[in-house]
Amino acid sequence: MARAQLCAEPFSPEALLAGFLESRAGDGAVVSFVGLARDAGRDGGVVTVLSLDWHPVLTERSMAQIAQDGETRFGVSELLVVHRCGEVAPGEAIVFVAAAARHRRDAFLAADYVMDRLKTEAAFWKREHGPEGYRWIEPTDNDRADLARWST
Amino acid sequence: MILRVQFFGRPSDIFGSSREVEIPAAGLPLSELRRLLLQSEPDAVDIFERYGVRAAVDNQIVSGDVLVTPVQAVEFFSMFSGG
Repeated sequence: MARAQLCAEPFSPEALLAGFLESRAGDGAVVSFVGLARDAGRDGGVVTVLSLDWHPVLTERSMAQIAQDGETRFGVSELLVVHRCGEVAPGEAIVFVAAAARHRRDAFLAADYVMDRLKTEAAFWKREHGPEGYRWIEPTDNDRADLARWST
Repeated sequence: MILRVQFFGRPSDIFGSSREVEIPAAGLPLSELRRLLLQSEPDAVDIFERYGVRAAVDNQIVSGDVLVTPVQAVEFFSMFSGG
């Protein structure tokens, strides 16, 4: 089962992982990933707040599609994506991904795949706010190269 | 009639989160709506071209031209940042 949730308030990755680990008797592996908001931008400038604008329908739909694709492609038994929206402070979790599978390799791959797709295809519009104002953030060449790994 | 167009990402720097546009009750092509918007805000032309601005109608991303009417949800947005 693939699930994707938008979250407007800070969430606890530890609590999400604990919930995900319940009733996993049929699985031999759980891989989780937590993405955090940094306090510096790509140019080293101070970031005081990260804003994630979202669409009332398209954003969650894009997340759900990515999660479903990850589950289908790697045959994992469960995949969970939780993503913040709105204003995120440095140090707070932005994204939580967990994949459960009978064997570890599928769980690692599914989590990696889902993150690469989220980084380029999730329907968010991000801004880094700092002392000089804000700037929009778009996927980097590295993000696109990461995504291209899965095209074969 | 009035169509309320919403904006996400870079277009919102110029248009704000939404803009009301007077359109015929029977609707108009999306391309014409785009032209009207850019005519009202010439500074947006560069943003639309450089940042791959696309449109969604009733929560479906549109490729090509479609007729939009005042009762539909129409949005323009720049490329996704990703998560």
